[in-house]
Amino acid sequence: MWRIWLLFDPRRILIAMAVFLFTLALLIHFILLSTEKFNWLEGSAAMSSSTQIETMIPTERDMLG
Amino acid sequence: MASDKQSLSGLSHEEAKEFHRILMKSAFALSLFPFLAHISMWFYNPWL
Repeated sequence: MWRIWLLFDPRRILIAMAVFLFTLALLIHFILLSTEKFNWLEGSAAMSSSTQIETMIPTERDMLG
Repeated sequence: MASDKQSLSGLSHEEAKEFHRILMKSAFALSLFPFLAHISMWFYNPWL
């Protein structure tokens, strides 16, 4: 397996790996930010989506009062 | 070792073995961080 470094330049592979992993991490973090469940800046994961919906639906007491 | 210098990357066999050894150790060590991150994230909020 070590013979792969006789074929490929280790410096180029290290740079390519770093760029690839950084881009992948950035992509995954942005995908998570775009979701409602895993966005850690707006909304909380502890509060489920159903709970948020419940608070937005006016109750009978709200309508009467 | 003159034949070693004829590799495409320019590394000798010993240099290739040394780089491979360090790279494997580093890869295993650094993979611990995302592993722990995924484990803790799963317990915090499982995605499946």
